[in-house]
Amino acid sequence: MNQNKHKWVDKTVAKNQIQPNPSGRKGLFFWIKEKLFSTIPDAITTLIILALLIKTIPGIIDWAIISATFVGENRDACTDTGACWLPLINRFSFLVYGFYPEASRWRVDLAFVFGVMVFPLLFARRIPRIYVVIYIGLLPIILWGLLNGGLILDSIPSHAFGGFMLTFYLAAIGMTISLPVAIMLALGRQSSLPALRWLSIGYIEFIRSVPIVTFLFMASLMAQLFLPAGVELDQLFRVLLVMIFVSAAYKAEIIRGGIQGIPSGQVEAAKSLGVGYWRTMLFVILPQALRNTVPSLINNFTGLVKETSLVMIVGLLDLTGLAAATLESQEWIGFDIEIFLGVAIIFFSINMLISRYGIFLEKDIAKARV
Amino acid sequence: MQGTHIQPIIKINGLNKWFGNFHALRGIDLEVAPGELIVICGPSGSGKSTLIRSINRLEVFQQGSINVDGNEIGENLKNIDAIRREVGMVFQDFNLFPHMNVLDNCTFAQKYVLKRSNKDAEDIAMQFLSRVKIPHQASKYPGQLSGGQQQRVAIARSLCMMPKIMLFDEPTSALDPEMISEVLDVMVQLANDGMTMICVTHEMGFAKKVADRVIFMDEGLVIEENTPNAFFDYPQHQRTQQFLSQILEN
Repeated sequence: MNQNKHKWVDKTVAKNQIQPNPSGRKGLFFWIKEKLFSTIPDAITTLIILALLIKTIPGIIDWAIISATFVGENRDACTDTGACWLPLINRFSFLVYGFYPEASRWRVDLAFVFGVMVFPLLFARRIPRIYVVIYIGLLPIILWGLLNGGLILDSIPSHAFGGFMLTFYLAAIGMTISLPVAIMLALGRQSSLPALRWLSIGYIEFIRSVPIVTFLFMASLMAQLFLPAGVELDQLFRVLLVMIFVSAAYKAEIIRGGIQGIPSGQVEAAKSLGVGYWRTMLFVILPQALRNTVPSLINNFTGLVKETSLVMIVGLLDLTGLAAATLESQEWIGFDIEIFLGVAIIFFSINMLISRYGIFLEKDIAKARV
Repeated sequence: MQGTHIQPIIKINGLNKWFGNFHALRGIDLEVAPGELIVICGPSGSGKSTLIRSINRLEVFQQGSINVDGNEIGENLKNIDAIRREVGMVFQDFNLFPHMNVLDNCTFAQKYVLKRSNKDAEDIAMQFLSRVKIPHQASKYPGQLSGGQQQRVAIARSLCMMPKIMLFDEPTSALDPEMISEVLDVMVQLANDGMTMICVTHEMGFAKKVADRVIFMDEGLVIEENTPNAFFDYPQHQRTQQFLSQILEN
């Protein structure tokens, strides 16, 4: 009797104890069974995909690596059975630096370092954000000074720009300058001054409803018509302006959405404390609005990186442009797959890094909301 | 406080306010003496929030005048900044800045509006956070605090600006019942220190305890105003009686 009672008490204690979630303690075997083979249709799908992978992957690996040619003087070194990476390997520095004078290529390398530095800075939580913002704000000036030169370093003509460095140049400067322009447009669009509001709306709506290619053509072919005789704007500079101002219109809409998502009580609280319009925007509204729009802004940035390829149509040769030019050369005609696969992998890697940063930021923001 | 000859700190004359075609405030006259505590109550949509939000021009009114400590609220934006510096406001939804920690919430406006040094601003912030009994939460973010704690931070944030007048817009309406008293305690303490306060609230216990005057509003009009005892014990108007019986039943 006494023992029975004791047992009963034990049971209650066991029931009330904190227990691990049972679905959390399964191993790999359980995972495979549950996720891949839980029902018959699931199992069939899994097996079909598995069969496809087994059939294709070894062939791809053989083509791309085992039977592929990595070393050689010219196309005679290539085999028929494997990929020929020679056009990418032998012309690597051409694809990266374009026509940039060889003696000055260290400037491009240094510019890459400055650009890539943004990522460790962004990922490091310890560094106060304000320094990161200042660094990113200075980046276009640094890049301009290094790559275009003119002040301290020799001036390099813009027709020497090409290949990956041009892609990088347009994307990095385009992003950093278009963001503040976009913020001003977004604020203008919500301004209480009608003239400013209509101007912003008109600008944003016009830019968004015309293809960027049109603007590139206009900047390239028609800009001279509007400029006084004798004044000539550099082609690269014109294209850069198009990149900045087109991209800004799209970003402005993203940021406007972010600003509208902030409860009106935030502005009211700042007003009631006597804080003026600009400080309210700068310290209260924009930090919150930009955080909320990070995923969309990152998406916009990856789009911008890819859009740099469009400058090809006005005669500037970015990475894609030089790849296409390589294909047309006598020496490497016919290696389309290898060359464009190489270009694709480079773009994929860059945008992968950018998206990773976006995911990192999103998680950070989610944590801060707890 | 009624009938004193002290110059009123707030003087509202013939205030009219429309939202589109909706006549939200219909000729409000109100004078508030320094140190006075006024409780405004009334059914929702009666214009009580609109009235106090007009005092620091969160709402723009179309007719009448408001004078706060000698500054006329009008088109002149310089006056509005001066008025907002003297008038603190506490909102129903706290409206703390979620991306700043508690201390930064309290120092932000001090630094940029009053141009206080970092150290002065932090000292003053800590002093008021102690007064609302949450100095140890200074490095936390608003999202990590309970509603009652957030509202107390919001009160401290306003007090840091050393306002002469505090406006409370339903400060306890968004709180869980067990947190209401911690906010009311802070407000009572503030009242006892002699702060001029206008509180839109349905906390009738609070009104009885510390109010100098209770104002009942309905449909944009001041229906009745009296001392708390007279107001609660002998409400004059039928509408007031109806409202009180509904509120006190719960």
